[in-house]
Amino acid sequence: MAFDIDKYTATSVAVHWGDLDLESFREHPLDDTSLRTLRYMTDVEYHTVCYTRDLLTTPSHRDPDVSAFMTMWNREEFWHGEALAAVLHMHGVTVQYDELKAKRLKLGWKDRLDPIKQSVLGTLVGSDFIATHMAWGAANEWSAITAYNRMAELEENPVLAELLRRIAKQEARHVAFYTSQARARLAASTKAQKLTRFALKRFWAPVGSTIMERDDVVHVMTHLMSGDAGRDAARKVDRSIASLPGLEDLRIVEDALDGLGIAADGDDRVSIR
Amino acid sequence: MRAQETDVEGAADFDVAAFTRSAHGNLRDAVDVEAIRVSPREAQLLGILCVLEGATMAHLRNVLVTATHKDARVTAFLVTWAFEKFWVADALSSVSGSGSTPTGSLPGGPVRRATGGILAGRSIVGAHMVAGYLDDLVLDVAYDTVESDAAPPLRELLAVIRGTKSRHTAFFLSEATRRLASDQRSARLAERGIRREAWPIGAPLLDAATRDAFTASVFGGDVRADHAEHVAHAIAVLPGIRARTASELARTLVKGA
Repeated sequence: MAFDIDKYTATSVAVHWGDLDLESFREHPLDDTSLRTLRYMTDVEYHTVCYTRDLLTTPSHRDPDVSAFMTMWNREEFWHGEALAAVLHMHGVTVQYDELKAKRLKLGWKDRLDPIKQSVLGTLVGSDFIATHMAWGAANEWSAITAYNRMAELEENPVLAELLRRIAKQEARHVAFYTSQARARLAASTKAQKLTRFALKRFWAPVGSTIMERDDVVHVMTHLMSGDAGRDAARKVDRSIASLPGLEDLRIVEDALDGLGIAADGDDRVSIR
Repeated sequence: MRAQETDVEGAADFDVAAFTRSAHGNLRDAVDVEAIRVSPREAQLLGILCVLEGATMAHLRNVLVTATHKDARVTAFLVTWAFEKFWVADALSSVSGSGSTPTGSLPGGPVRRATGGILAGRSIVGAHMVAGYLDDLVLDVAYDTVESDAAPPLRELLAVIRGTKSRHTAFFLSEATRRLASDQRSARLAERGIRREAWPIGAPLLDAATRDAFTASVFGGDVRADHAEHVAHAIAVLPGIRARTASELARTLVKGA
């Protein structure tokens, strides 16, 4: 079913948490492992604008539906960052503009050259490049939902679980947009399928990998995606990605976890506690 | 997200966190947009304003490939700015009967802008703040023009739109002032942008005839030429902007982009 962009924009809101008892974290605080993961998630949500930059280098911005989606999506992701930052704040951690800026500045030349690379590729490949960005976005959003759901399961904290559920619900609408775009564009072009398959297989990495330190990526993946349950969740994301036209049998999430040395079996979180 | 950045001299006096928390969404919630009736002349100018307000993603395409995207305080503002302008354009589209908000690309493109951005470094942020401020000044004159003969229902909508936009203008002015005051290179880049770019920012998305119609409506005639002088004066008082650059700007506005 086609994504209803008018309905999406009309109902897009900042995630709310005013009714949640965040004060309860003062009595029942999250442990350091969880706080580190939560901080990673917060930073990634705030850094969404960096992904927007890459998406805008393609001709996709000329499509009114894509343009409208990006406007709302950016704001929703920003507010996911704000919501998670509110939880961190209850633990004495304040996220500052300067810190986020410092992380972006640290990315150096690769980050400066990326938009040029993306734009040249987009020009060479043409509109099929949009399909790749849409499939990539879908993979990222599926991963994000999985990460939030896993965090909620592992923590068993009702306040955090509810907040993460609300965030994941918004991410699900983002998935719907990206998959509807990717499915249609991939179905229409064998070249787009081949390019997307190659790009995802060769270059995809867990969300945040390009911005955060490798140690942090390994920490979060070990925390959320290790063990039998974590690996099952990863396989589920891979199956979703593989359901897109031309992407059959892709297993990019499992491959990424293997590449990071994340345990594929055993009890959850054994290796991190 | 809290706290202000420390690598730009002068205190940032605009509260971005408060701005993001109190963003204005769908204007149809505040005003009965469908009930507003406009003349063909008003419809034309409102339709043009819809295109100009809706140029956010086209503008961000050029802006985010530079060091501006690294400044988390600025991007927090821009995310909310784009959201508010989306709904401004939506209301203008409805009132003018122009249908969905048109989109397109602005001159430059990511490769040229990113390359220029690498050379400009962080000084480009100040130039982008001046661009946002100048865009708002020009559009404000256009809103003045529409408002001069508008019936009360349209005036009500314009008041909501201008109220929304006044916070954008305040941010751009505050940021432009402190960044240009502390960075001469930023002022030079801002001047180059004033001279080289079309104003308002979204003007290149309009065809030549529509651009001419906008210029004639907003800056045509002796009285309206004063509006161009007013915009130029507001730009001239920014730190490091020379009177010559402002005068050129006034002439360009009257002549058309």
